[in-house]
Amino acid sequence: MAVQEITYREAIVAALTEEMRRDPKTLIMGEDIGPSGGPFKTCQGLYEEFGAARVRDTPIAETGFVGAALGLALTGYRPIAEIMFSDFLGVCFDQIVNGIAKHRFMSGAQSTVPLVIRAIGGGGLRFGAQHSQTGESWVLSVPGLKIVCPSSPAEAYGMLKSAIRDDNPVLIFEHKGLLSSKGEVETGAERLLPLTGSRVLRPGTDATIVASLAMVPRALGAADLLQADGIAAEVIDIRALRPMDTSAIAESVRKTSILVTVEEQTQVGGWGAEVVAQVTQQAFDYLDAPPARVTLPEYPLPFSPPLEDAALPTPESIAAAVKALV
Amino acid sequence: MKTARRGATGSARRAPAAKARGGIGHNAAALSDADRLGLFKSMARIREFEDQVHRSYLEGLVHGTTHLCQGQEAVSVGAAKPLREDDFVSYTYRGHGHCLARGMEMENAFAELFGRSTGVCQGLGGSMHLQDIERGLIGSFGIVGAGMPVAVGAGLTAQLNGRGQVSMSFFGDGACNIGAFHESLNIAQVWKLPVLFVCENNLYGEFTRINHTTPFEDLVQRAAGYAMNAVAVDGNDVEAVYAAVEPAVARAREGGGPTFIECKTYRHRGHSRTDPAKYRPQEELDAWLKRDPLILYRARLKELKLLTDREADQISADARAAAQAAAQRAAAAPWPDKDQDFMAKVYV
Amino acid sequence: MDFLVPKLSATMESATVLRWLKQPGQSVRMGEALVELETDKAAIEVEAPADVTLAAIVAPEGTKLPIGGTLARLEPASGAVLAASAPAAKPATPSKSAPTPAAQRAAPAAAPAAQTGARQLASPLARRLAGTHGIDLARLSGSGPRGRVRKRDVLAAVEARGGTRPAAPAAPVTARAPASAIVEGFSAMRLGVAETVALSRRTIPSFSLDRWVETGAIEHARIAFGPGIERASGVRPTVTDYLLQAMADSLRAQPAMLDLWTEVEGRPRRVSPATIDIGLVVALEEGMMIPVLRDLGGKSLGEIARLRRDAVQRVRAGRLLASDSAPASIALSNLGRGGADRFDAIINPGQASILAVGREHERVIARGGAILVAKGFHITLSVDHRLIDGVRGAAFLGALAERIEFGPWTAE
Repeated sequence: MAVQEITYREAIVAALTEEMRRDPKTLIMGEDIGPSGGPFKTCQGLYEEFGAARVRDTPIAETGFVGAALGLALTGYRPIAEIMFSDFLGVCFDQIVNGIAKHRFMSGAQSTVPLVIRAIGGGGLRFGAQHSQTGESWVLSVPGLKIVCPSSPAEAYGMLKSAIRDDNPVLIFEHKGLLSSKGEVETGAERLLPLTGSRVLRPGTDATIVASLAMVPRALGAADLLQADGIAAEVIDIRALRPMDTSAIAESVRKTSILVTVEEQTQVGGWGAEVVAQVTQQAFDYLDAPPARVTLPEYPLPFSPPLEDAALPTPESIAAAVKALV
Repeated sequence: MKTARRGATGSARRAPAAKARGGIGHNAAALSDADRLGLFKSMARIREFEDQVHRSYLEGLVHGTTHLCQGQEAVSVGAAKPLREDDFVSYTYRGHGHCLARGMEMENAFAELFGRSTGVCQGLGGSMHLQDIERGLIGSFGIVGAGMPVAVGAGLTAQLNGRGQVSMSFFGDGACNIGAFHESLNIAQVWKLPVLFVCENNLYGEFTRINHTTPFEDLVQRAAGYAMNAVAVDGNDVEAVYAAVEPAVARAREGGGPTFIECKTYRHRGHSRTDPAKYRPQEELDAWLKRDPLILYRARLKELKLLTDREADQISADARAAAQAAAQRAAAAPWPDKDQDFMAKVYV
Repeated sequence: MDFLVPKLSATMESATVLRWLKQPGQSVRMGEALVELETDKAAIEVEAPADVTLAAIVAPEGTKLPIGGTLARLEPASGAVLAASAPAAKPATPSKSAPTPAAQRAAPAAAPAAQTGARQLASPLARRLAGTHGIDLARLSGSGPRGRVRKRDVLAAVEARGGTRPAAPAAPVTARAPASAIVEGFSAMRLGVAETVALSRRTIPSFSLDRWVETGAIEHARIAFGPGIERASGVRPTVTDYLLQAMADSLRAQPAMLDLWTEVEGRPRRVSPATIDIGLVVALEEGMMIPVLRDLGGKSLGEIARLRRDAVQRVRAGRLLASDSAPASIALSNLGRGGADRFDAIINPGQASILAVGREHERVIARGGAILVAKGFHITLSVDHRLIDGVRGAAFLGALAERIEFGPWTAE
């Protein structure tokens, strides 16, 4: 029961450990997560504490073990599946979008599907185009899934705990660029965070910047730059993408009249488009400029460091987008 | 297409001889007279249900498409026989037989096909997605092979529960070429899960014969790649299916791991309602129609003096009447409420 | 002939000429909009009463006139007059905040907007602020891209006019707002609504009658007729349209309900209209308007739906026609999509009654000794007691309820 400064990775481990202690029906599956503790050490210590039956190294077969998670969830367990790189969601796409997401509905609500899929994604680490995607856009349009994307250790901890206890399938997008970022987390307590709604990280009156995952610290950096120019930007972490609740964002825009979204995905079909559409519906008469989206360019993320850096939104490029509207 | 024709007639002739091949350690528990009559009645019930679906389709009561299983009843019934109530079964879009063999009420099944509020899934699933979680019918999958990893997960539940449950996965020959199949067999064998992989090899993946899509017709060979116990049986002989599955189930309950059971069978009708199945050689069809599982088993029960022709006809007539009445009641049921709380069906 | 300021609402006393839509010498078809007037409620386009030529403008833009004041002189149409003949003798309207040359180059659309009628670009927020502060957008040059008027341009104009610049931007006062409250004026529409309802309460002694009606017949008719009507007339009738037809039919059977109370030279007079005209309350963000749907007697659902759709679109766009403000005896206020079971509406001054419709819901009813569940809503009729007594009001409500519950509906 202590507030500690821990890393995003440690927050994930703490949430998994606490929830697996709490509920013997939980178990975790994934590639290299057993004695190795996971390629990103997000399962460190779990195998030692819970054993091989509940911390299961799987073959490299995402369709197989994500499908198995559905079978476990339908028959009384609460499985957690770790997808080593979000990019590999493509390998088990059918199980997620046709199986997991629709099972309850097609059964006439006979079934519940309490499972969690943790996918670790994101760019900036020179992993190239097949190991750097965040992946939210792929699943954003699928009813039946809950989709969250924690940007801080407190969120990684509180949302993962909520996800494990939730009776619906929850897809958590974690960001490997954030794994070593630190923040204060009260572990050991029932600090559950809701799986819907956004969070205002920094208040402001002149523009609303909405960001997710690793773009959140960059948006906060942009707000610092803008502050120096006398522009007070409000920064909001969207945090939960499905079900999407944009009411707090719309409320912010009613105050600032300017909306800029920032996401580490290409523009077409990203969550920013949905936020802009919903906010325009809710706060049309308060907009003083067309909303803008800061995103990745419409090509795969390049490998070469200067090219990758140029493709990713930065505090400077976010600030410039805001300034063009204010 | 010399090869194809040879394959075509060859399979039909070879099928009966394939009975109980493979390494099952012990013989199946003996069937009582009552068991045998029960198997016949269960097959007749499925046959009459599917025939009624066909008639209801022509009346416009069945919407969209539907995949009938006439000719494959012996697999559903024979494989389900050794299962307990707390076992798990997953199956495919050709799944009416698997559901009925586990005791699903015909009326609720019809109502689901008709899109009515009294359907097993309240009209939200349809013909391809009949499910009844209470009966262990955990999923009917419209995507080829997609149910197999789910069956593996249910098998892991069975293993972790430690109460001797098993998970049975029905799939067709078409699924044997998709990734989910291979991943599922591999995981189940690596983890020694109590999963019964029941392959209904009806020789056609949708409209295409197996010899065009798969390097061999005896799919039991696939199991060797995963060092899995396997057996091939005549899928039109309900007792042969039972005899192959029962020891495999018993072994799985005791921690002996998964078994692959290839049931050689044939669907009497096309892939789906829009398929007249003209791609099948007449002599192949004729050979298999003669080996209709109901005809074969009626003859066997007559031989055993358990059934006369008159009694067998009566069983079919009763099943037909029951199916007709159930369809009538289902057709009279109301449509689902358009203003219902759909989101409560999407999320808990 | 003289073209006079018409009375466009019960509380209207004067109007300001916003914009002439035709130039002197131009010929105008009957029904074509001639001038845009600003009244206490909204900007309203007034149409030509016949095929005419605009001979001369008497009241230039910006002139305020009482009802009956002369706007222009018209001549009966003669095909010989060419539109190009005489240029407008209108005073130039220099913009108060003159744009810099650079801004002018960047934003050529801004300045000429007033003359050409081209759409002035403005952000949604600027448009709304301009309405709140009574700023004519057409007179502003925008500082945004392509001359788009932004919030800052409107606020600058407010300041230049001598108003105080609003302290805070457009944020609504929410519970979380700081304690220092903002004091600012109401929009013209809000003030208009306030005056109208106060006048009604002061001058009309009213009472209301209530009835719960089943809506099964409407529901069935919507399923049965809806698609056909939509194919034929391009619009699918809503519950409102069914109510309008039911009201029109019931009024035809009981024309006394159409009688109006008016005063001529200080003496009360009864007016019995020749046509069945019904006002429809249309909610807007800042208030509401009651455009009048003319001559609904015997009209089909498709015709009613078209009239209703067009009127609502005009109201939403702020482009009312003079005919929308014609006198009417009764109005319909349908809150069916709201959360209230029933409510009393306030009679629009100049009208005799108003029908208020609550939300559709299921309830348990008794019929023929049996208990059953039915869907329906409350209809609440408020009537002017000077004209309508309880017996007459109840008879009308009863007939209307029967008409709603049993039809018949005239689809095409």
